[in-house]
Amino acid sequence: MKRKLYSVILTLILTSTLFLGACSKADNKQADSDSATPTGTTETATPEATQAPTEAEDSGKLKVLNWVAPGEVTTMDSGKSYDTISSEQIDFQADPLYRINEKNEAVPNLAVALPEVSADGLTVTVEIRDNAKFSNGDKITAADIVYAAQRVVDPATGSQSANNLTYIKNAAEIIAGTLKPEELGVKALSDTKLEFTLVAPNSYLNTTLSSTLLSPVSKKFVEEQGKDYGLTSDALLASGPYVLKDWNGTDISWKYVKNPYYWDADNIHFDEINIQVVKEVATGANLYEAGELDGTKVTGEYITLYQGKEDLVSVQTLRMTNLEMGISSNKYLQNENLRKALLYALNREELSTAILNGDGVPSVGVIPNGIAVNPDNGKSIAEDFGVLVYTDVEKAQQFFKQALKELGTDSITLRLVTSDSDESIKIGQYLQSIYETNLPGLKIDLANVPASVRFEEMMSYKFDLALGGWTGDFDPTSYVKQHEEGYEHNHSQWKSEELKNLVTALETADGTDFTKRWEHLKEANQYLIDNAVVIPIVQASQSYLINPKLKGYVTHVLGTPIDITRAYIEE
Amino acid sequence: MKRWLRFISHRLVYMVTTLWVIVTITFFLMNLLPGTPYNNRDKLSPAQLQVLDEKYGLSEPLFTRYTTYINNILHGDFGISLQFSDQKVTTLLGSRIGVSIQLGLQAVIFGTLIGIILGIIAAMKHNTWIDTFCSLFAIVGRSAPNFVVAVLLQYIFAVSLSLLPIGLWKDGFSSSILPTLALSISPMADTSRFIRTEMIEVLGSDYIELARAKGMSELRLVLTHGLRNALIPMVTIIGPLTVSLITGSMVVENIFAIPGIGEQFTKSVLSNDYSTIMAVTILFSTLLVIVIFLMDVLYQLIDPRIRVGQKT
Repeated sequence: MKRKLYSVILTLILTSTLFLGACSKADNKQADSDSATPTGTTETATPEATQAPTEAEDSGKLKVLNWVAPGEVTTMDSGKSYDTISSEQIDFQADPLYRINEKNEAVPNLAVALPEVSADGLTVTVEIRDNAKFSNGDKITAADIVYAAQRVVDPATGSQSANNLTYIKNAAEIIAGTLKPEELGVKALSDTKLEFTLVAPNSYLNTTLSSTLLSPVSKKFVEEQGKDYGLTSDALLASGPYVLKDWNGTDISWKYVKNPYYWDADNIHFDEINIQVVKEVATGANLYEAGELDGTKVTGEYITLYQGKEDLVSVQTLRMTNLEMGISSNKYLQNENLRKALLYALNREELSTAILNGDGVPSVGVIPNGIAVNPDNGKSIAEDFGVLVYTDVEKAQQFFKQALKELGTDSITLRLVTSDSDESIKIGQYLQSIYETNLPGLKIDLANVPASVRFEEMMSYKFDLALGGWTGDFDPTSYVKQHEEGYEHNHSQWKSEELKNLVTALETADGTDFTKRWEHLKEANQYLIDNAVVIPIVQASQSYLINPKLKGYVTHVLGTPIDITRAYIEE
Repeated sequence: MKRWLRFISHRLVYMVTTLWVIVTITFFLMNLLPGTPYNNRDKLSPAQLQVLDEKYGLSEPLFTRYTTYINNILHGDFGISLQFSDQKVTTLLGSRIGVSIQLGLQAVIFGTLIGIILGIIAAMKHNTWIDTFCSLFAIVGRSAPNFVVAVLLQYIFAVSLSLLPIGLWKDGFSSSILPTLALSISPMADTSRFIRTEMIEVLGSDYIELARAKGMSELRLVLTHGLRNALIPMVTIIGPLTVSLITGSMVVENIFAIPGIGEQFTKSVLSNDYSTIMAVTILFSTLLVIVIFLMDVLYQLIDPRIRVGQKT
């Protein structure tokens, strides 16, 4: 009996020494890799791991890609998608009329040519391929696109993206329930010819039509599936290059197989794409290093760690992070000089490199760089509108002094509400410290709250400062419209005839005159900065670690950041 | 036998009442949360918001929604999750709870077993370096947050030594080893500390002295007399511990990319995913109520002095 006890103790000691031994061994290894790469952290993978072959090479004939999703999909239904995670997945299986190329231009995809627009800019005809088929072999016709569009705006569908189609005639009325879905301004003139009737001329029509909300949906199939449509991989039909498999609606892994009926199947190179949800960036990077993933999303310190390596791919997005001001509710913020002080006291470069480690780039103005180019000379927003927001601490201090004098006070306290995500907390703390340092007499009280609480505060229009933002889609107007009188997301409740006229012109008369529209966008952008209605901070970017052998993928600012449907592994 | 029947029927009434109170309180509290369950809220117009509210039955007065909800759950309909493409909440939890239960049970069994062994050894070698080592382990294990433990385990055993998978739930049992270890550190530490204290007390008592004087071997003494008495209070902590472990851990699941339900406890609240909040609350409280009941039964199996149905 006594011997038994001793053996138990002995086993335990042995196990613990093994554990400790493993620790010290790992420590040595850590020290080695530290000396090799000065930026090494605990999560750095060892050099041997990098050489591990990917599954694609192992499996010989079958070409497989292992990709990541940063979270579960909120929906696989092309008519309901509203977030990046699900759009990325839907891009595999739903075929849009147009695809966005690396220059952020629309190129024909399911459509055979760019849309033909009538002289008044209100009637648009699109010709689609007659060799396109769904993954069950059924022919894709123009009627399937009409049905898809009607389904998005139909209140019964409950699509949170319905508003994205309000450029089509009657869409707004159908969403509100006053007209029937069949009355939507989209018609099938023949099996391959579509006609859109627009509310107003739209100069971003080509890119707007690249949305997967307009990907064909088979009415027959949706009605067969009834309530279950889109809830599992079996209850979905693909029109795009890949077919979804093994997804039960809540999974954290699933796959795509090549769609044999796809019209462009010759240019689709993978037989299978395995998707794995990995929420922890460190885990994703470890899996990537071990060769278990060909691509993963990274943020913060991992961007710094992989800086200069070919694995790192960063893509700018349309997400603008702004400091919003409750101008209508705070009398201090009604002072223009105070708002300007806040505008120039910030160091956006320092914020995006040192604090955000490259998760974003400094904003140039209210409208994000890359969303559109000057129609006459192709110049970017930054080149053409100029870098309107920059750091000038002296100027900021002068504005602040002036503001204090005008307001008859020697100190101002403002409450800054941010959501409680890591990044928002970091930005909030940075703003607090830079404002309190650069503008003596200004005190910032930080409040980190759940995102929904922050949002409700902004929507009540009663707040001092809030870390907000906006993600538009194809038309830059939404970024300036946000501050227009009467628009519900005008959180500052800024009221201006000048801006209102500009937005009205942008949304109506300018639709056919691209040059004039561009001028108006420039004026509106300038107006918002001149009056410091909002303080742009950073434009977000999305970074990936991608197997350097993966070629043929496209990154763009518009739409989803990366399109890997045509990608292949270079042997 | 009759006494048992009465005990069980009484407890059943209590259990159902408790659950009903929890459900009711959670339902009304949850509706005090600011915000809506729609992720795309910042782009929805008032008209659309109304359409969605009507579609998901959120435009009704609160009390009507409450009665509808109670009626629905009595018919087995727990609603749909807006975070998971309108999937039924039962599908969501059903497809994931298995993983959490497996990990939780493995962690409880492994953690408490090792914890008990460490505790006994520490108690027997009271005030020696072994005891100090065990106490140190317990303190470190208790205070190290499990995301640190999980990341460390992942780094050592998966990244550096390549002995086990880094993550993902596809290699069967070997996928579950590291998460189980990460989850079991805290119950291990708790149990060892607890057993040590209890054992020291028990081993110092008179009847142990007597048994020792009669010449009983030390091991038999510890296992038959000491441990049995020390285990009774353990039952109190092991029940709730099991429940909290089998309902998953967001941190460990995310680090090892495992499809458990741990994340739903926090994510559903943050995203106002009402049906999921209710479902996980019901799940957790039902398990807890059942476990408490089982513990009461277990008590009297371990200690014949405790009798069911008796006033004192």
